[in-house]
Amino acid sequence: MQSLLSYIVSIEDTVKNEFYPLTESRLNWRKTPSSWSVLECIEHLNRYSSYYNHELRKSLDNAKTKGYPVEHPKSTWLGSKFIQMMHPDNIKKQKTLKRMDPANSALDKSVVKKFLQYQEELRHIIQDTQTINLNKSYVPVEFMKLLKMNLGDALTFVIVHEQRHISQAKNILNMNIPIAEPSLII
Amino acid sequence: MTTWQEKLSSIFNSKVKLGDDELRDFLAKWKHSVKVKRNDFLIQKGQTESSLFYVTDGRMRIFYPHKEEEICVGFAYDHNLICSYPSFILNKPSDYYIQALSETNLMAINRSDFYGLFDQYLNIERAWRMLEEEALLGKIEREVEMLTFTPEERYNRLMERSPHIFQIIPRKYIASYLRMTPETLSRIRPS
Repeated sequence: MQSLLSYIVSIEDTVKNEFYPLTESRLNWRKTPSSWSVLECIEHLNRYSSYYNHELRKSLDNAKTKGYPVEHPKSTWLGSKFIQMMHPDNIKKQKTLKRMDPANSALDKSVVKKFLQYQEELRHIIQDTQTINLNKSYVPVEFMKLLKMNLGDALTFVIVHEQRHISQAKNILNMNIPIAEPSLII
Repeated sequence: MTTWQEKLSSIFNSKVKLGDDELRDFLAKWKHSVKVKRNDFLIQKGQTESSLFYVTDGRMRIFYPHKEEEICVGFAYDHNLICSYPSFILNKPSDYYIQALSETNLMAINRSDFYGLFDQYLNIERAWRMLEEEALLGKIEREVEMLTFTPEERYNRLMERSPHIFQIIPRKYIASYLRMTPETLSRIRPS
């Protein structure tokens, strides 16, 4: 769980220091009309956080194993499949559900502030899970609610998904390096 | 090669890789060093620019005198090439002033020496053309920004392009460059 926390901190650092100071025009830049801007990557994550933070907290509050933490959270077959699918190392493009797709929306920097709030919530959730058995509480998967992931898998899933899109956002910025100052001043 | 020679070469090499002979002859023509004290001028209105300069260290502003105003049109600092361009190209008296904002050291190449290199080395002429293109693109971008952007947008654009400019250039000159009053600039970016 400590490593999950450190992943979040590093995501927060990137967003705070590398994205937030940039102008909105740069954050809204997209390579092609159908591809995402930096703010759209973040808005997409916000839509997931809006669902998962709520479900994670609910599952945590209803946990019957308070005071009985597990030392080694176990990943289920299904959980590790989902995690693998979203992992930033998996370069296969995944289809985005329509309701999670913010493409072509006009966004402003409030999206970034919201994102940082969600991360703070998530850090608190992770801290609070340390007293329960993560293998015995479950969260329904957003895009297939009949399927459930255990809490440990769900937290990892949410974070690798964030890493995936933060790294996508970094790539978008690298494609749009502003014109350098000319060497010749006239 | 000395440090300034390496840096100057890198400006041209970044456009077209120059061969050893080209580079040697090119650097040999940058023979004059010039020191300009703070507030002194590299060139004043009415003088004709006979050299192109490389700033080894220092800070300068180019301005156009208009009525009581001095309109800043550009800044040069370490590792820039600078000249009063229309005067340099057309060989006629300059309309602009170039003033040092701190003590500035430059190296100079004579206009006729520079053009002489073009006749001998296609690569040098080509690299120069590309440097001019880059400068022209910058000017065109700036023109559109001046015509269409709000003061905030002009400021934001400058910050993207030259984030360190506030550490180098006094605010009143930046305000002039952005075509806004110092008061407007202070509202957008409190000091």
